[in-house]
Parts: sequence; C-alpha cells; structure tokens
Amino acid sequence: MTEQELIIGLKNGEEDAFKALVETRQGIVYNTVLGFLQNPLDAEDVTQDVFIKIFESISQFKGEAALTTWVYRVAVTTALEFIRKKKRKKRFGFISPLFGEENEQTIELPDFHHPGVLLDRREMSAILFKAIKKLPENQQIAFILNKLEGLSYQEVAEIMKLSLSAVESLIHRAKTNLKEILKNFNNL
Amino acid sequence: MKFTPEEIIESLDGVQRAEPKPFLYTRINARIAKEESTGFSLILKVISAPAFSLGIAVLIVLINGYFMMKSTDSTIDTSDLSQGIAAEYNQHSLDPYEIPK
Repeated sequence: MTEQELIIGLKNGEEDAFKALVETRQGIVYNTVLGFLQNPLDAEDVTQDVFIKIFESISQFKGEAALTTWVYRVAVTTALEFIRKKKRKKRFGFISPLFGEENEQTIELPDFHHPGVLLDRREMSAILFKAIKKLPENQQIAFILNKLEGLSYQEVAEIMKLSLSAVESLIHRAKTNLKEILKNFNNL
Repeated sequence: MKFTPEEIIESLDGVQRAEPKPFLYTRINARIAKEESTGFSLILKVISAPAFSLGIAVLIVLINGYFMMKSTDSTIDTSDLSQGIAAEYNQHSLDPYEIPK
C-alpha cells in the first residue's frame, strides 16, 4: 500500500488502512512516546491514544507534510499532554481526596532502562534519561527525536515546524544543558 | 563520578527502537469499540463540535430577538388604564398638579 493509498483509505475509514498504519508506525510512535514518558506501561496507553487520535482526526490531515511527520507530531503532542496532565494531577493531588476521587499511589519509579540500549550502556543511559527530563520542552523534543529516534536535523525541523538552524541550535543547547546537569549528577 | 558527561550523552548512540507489546492493533480496536459503545462519549463529541456551540449561540440570539420584539409590540396603553382609575375614584383628571374644584 503506497502512502497515498493509505491516506485515502484512512480518510474513507477503511479498517485495512488503519491496520496498516498501526502496524507500520507502531514502533516509531511507541519509541518516541517512551522517550518522553520513560515508563513502558504509560507509553503503551499513550501509544493507543495516539492512534485513536489519528483515527478520529485524519480528516484534518491536509497532506502538507508526510504522513509519518504528522504521526510524529501527534505522538509528541500526546506524550507532552500526558506529562502535563500528570504534573497537574500531582500538583493538585491533595484536593482530589476531598472530592472522593481514587487515590493513586505515588510510587517513585525506578531508573528507566530503555530496552534498545546496549547492555554495557544501560547504567549511563538511565542517568541520561533522568537528565533529559530536566531540559526545556523544545530541547527535549529535538534531542529525543534526534538521538532516540535517529532522525536527521532536517526531519526534526519538519516535525517541529522549525528551520534547520533552529533545530541545530536547540540540539546544541540541549547538549550544553545536559553536560551542565550531568556535572551535578549526584543531585539527580 | 564513574562516567563523564560526554560518555553519558553518547550512551544513546546506536540505540535500537523499542517496540510495543504484540497485538497493539487488536487492543486499539477494542478500545475504540468500547468508547463508541458508551453514549456519553457520543454526547461529548456532539457538545464539543464547533457547529453545536455556534448553533446554540444563534438560538440564544434568536430567542432574545423574539422576546425583544414581543415586548415592544405589547406596550400597555396607559390612557385606558388612567381613565379607568379616574372613573373608579370619581376623578376627571389624574394630574397631580391640578387644583381640585
């Protein structure tokens, strides 16, 4: 199925097209989302959210960018929305018991080990993932897409709707900030 | 520290892409079916549609306009009323500044 056929199929609500989209793009969506959330269970849920969003809003896809670029955008926004929502919940967590909402246990998660990292680098990557969380949002996006997804600066620029030089600058600043954060590694 | 910041930053070089658990499509389909079966999601979908809010706004304006038109049409004829009161109290005029004879 060509990309054009896939888009037409999706817009017509064809099940085969949606199945093909999920099967061909599940890896990029899950891996991107996992990079932001650093939690496989949340990443599974958010990956499902991403595909449901795509299924419901495919009519908004105008074809100005490649389908994969659009899928990346939906994945990044959905992951960031999830993080913001979680932070809000945490911030107002003391209020929810007053309204009888379920008490979610706030368990400090262990270090995140990305399953694709080589065994001898796992310890280092766990430290890196902790440091990535401390970066500003835009730098996080650029760094994750470039380093974890292995996308070129040009591809990152298309996803983020930025110029190539802006992405170069973002990644440069991300690395500088990471070095600074990692110097104080013991405080992480 | 065991590692330098540069080494840590480079630890993601050559990373393999993580894959979700098998049967993702089946799970997504099941979730879509579940969401569609609940009427609440349908109501939410209708309410959140821009056409719905625009329709409600137009309806409010129309209702408002109707009542405004109605209130200007049915202004009370006060001359009839004052004559009625005057007759009831044996008064010829209701002018408060008129000197009674």
